[in-house]
Amino acid sequence: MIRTTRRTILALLAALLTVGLSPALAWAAPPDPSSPAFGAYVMSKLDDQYRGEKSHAKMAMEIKTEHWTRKLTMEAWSLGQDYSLVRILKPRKEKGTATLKAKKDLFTYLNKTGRTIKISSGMMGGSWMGSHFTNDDLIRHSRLARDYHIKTTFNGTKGGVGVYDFTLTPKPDAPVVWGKLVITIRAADLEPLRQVFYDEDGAPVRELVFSDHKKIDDRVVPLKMVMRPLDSSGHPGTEYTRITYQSLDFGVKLKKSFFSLQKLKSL
Amino acid sequence: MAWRNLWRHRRRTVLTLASMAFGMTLAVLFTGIGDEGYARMIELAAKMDGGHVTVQHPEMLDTPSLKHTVMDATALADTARADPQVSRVVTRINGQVLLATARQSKGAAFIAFDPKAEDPATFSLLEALHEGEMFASSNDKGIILGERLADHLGVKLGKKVVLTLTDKQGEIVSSLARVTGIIRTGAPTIDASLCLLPLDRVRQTLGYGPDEATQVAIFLPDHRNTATVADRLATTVAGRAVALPWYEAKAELAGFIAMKVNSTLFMEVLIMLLVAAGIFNQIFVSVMERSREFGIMMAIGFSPGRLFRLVMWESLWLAIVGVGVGAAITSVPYYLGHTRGIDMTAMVGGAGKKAEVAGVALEPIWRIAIYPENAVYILVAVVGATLLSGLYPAWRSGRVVPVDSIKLV
Amino acid sequence: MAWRNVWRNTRRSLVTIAAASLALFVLIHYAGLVTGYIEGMERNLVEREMGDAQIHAAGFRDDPSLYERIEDPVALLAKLDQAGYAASARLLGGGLAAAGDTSAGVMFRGIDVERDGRVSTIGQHVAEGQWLDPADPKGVVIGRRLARTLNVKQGAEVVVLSQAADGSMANDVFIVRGVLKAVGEGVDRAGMYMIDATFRELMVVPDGAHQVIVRKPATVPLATAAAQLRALTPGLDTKSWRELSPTLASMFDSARGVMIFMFMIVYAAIGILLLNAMLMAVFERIREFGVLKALGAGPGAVFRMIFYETYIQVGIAILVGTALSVPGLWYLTQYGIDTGRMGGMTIHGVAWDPVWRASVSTSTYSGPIVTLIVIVSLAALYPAFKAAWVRPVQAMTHR
Repeated sequence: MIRTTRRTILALLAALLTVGLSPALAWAAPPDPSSPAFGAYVMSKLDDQYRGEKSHAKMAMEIKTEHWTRKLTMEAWSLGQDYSLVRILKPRKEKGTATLKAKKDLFTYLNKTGRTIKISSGMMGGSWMGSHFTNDDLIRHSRLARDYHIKTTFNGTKGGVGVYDFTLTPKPDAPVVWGKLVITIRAADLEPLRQVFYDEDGAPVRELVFSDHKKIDDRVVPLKMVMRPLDSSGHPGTEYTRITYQSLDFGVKLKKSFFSLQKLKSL
Repeated sequence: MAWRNLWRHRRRTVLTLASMAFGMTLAVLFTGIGDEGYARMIELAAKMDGGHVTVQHPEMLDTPSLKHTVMDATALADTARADPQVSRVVTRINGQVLLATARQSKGAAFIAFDPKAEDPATFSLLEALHEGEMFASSNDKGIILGERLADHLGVKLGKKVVLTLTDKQGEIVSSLARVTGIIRTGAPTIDASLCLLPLDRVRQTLGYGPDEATQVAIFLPDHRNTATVADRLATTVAGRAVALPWYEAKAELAGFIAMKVNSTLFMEVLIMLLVAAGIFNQIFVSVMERSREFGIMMAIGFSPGRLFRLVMWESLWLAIVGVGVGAAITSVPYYLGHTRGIDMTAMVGGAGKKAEVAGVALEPIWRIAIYPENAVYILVAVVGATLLSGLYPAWRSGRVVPVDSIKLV
Repeated sequence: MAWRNVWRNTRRSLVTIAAASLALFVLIHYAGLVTGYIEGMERNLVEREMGDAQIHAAGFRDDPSLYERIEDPVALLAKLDQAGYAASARLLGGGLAAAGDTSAGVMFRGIDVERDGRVSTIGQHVAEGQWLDPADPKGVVIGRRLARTLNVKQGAEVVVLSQAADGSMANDVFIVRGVLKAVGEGVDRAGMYMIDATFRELMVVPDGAHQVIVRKPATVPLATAAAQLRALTPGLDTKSWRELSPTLASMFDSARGVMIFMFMIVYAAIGILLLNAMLMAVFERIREFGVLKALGAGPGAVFRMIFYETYIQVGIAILVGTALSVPGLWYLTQYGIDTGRMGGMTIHGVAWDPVWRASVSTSTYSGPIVTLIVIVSLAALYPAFKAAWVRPVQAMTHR
């Protein structure tokens, strides 16, 4: 059902906005894997891999639900954590529709009518751009390193690849709906491979799979992400949302003034 | 002499007294049901939300929003408490919130209150706590959900819910809460869309000042003082807030009650008319029958005026005895109705069900309690009707022509 | 002789007749208003919102989604027309409406305006502005409270946003053509009515419908109609309004129960008062009866005479009471009592009509009349017996 699918694709937003929107960052050398600081380091990297200074990207989003399948092509710009602009390029019917995030305000410009709506708290549960994202996903910065306790729960080989599993449990007051996250990181380059979201009862609700890792400028980013709702026994259903990055540029010149309502309309 | 005259025709007098008593009983019972019923409805509405007098931002009634606050709510509450006609005052925040869990999200209305300052006398919903417990403090990190709302979100006690709100600056803020309790009121709209939160926690989340709130709810032991209390408060808060009496804050309930009050009044007037007709008959007949007597009396020197007064005294005695008998007879059903009430449960569809009027859930047991003034009004009405009925016959009695009447057999 | 007796003491008879007429007048009006109240509530529900029955696709009520549709509503409607039922199809979908800085969740209702007029009176319940018109496809009519939440009036613009059936972003801008009066919780808070073609285009639902509202002919009882409809709609979920809203049904039933209770009290009150009037009337004439019996009339004759006199008086009272009631009830059915301030109140979620009208049928008259006759007959029994068995000498010297 579209509803569960939508609800299950939280982090896709973060990925959407930021994978490929992350700049070249020089990373300090990772601490030793056996030290307690290791987990925090990796998660920070994950968090920061998704944040950045400036970026400009083009991506394709494919959504499959029980009743329909859709492909969208979008263009996105971001500046730091507070500003982002995402615009639909295809299909033609929706070309020009865009979402602007400026500080804590969220607006959607609807090309068909030329009107802009401010997204209020009541609309947070609603779907973003018809996708499985919620508007809430766009606004929320849940910072893994800050909001969760991190424990390394596996260190070995899976499917021939050396990986670490990190189990994240939310800190007591963190406003996150999840009971637990399990993130699988490739040992070799500390790139994310898979993230499974669990509810409070320990039932898996959805999973996010990263692939097609490539070096862009001076960092490695996964160019493909697929979010899938899981049924109660952990098996993926037929619904999913897949985002594929077609182009990424971290060297783009952007100013805050770019992220304005007028810009939304004139693009 | 008037007194003796009354008892000369015992049967007739008794009959008249009976109908007077009956009319009085009906009037008192109906009014009693009404007085008690409406007082309770108003009290219920007050306890559900807003109190008898609500102090809130001037624009809140037309455009409900979390931006429309009362800045010095605590000070206002203190001022209100000092009023002798006020019994309790509480401060609250009301608004809309988005609740989200791992699988679902839903919008709901919330009422944030201080669990230490409130109890079922100020907040009737607290009695509907079906599972779990009340918040430990105003800073508690819990949330209490309506039963159907909890079902929809798929949460049970102890599970977490993320709250998302729009704060005073128009920004979207979130916080976490755990389900501490579930309420079940039986009223479908409430159970599916209402949740309760602790006041100070919401203040923090919304970035309100420590004295800021959206509502100061004021409770009165006697709802009939509402207008005066509201007026007094209105002058105190002028400029920054309004003091709304419940009948303005809940215009629909006011209309409903007005309608019921009017229809009861109408019925009572009718009953009085019928009773008066009977009394008129009684007095008139007795006068007519005594034409001969009156003729003789006039012949021996009684003036028309004296005859008039005689008949009027008879009316008065009738009235007094009637009221006495009426009171005696009324006291039994009144006492029963007052202590035990009339059980309408069967009428409403069985135990546990409540009727819902204008959002207020009503008990199906009708109690009787009449306001003293209303009882006095009824008494005066009975006496008045009796005296009025006596006017025409009394006048007629003075018009008797002695010679003609003595000739009558 | 009974007739002459009646008029011998005009005053006494007039008082009795007046009392009985007044009583009848009150009873008739009370019956009319009370029936009007109950029927009014039911009618509001049935006529404005629910219809007598509703048809949905089998899974719709459990899971109201855009995709659970009745597949061929056109054929279904034709079938229902033929069977003598008035029916109209509706499209339902949820979304968001925004105006200025505020937004609210709404339920879009796409309707066939002409057909819908046959099953629902909601088109006549526009408080401000006008009802839908197919010539104005972007005009929508919204619920009372929705208008307040969004802070819009007639003529204002509203942006709507939702997810269409094909996944695309459904969005458009509409003009508020009208704002409804109070109808019921759901519609007041979130109802947005639009032309069906507009819905279809907005939500990309080219065929099918989510709901069919059916009205039955007035003479067919509800249960029968429901059964017939179910027979006509195999594979679909067909329910009467009582089955769909059992709490409302029981509320109306209980309201009736309470009203009957009140009726009985009123009747009893009036009965006792009349009894009093009649008793007095008879006791005044004890001497008379004594004379009659002394002259040879038997108890039966006296008894009968009293009853004749009583019935004559009651007969006149009935004529007078009824005659006076006719204009009164006419006024109440046409104009009703304006309960003004209550406009918009809901009882158990169903809106109360601010004008309280009486509902008149033969029973509005026949009920009170029959009751009056019964009460009066009972009231006359005791005095008649007393009169019949009076002992002549005692009676004649009675003071």
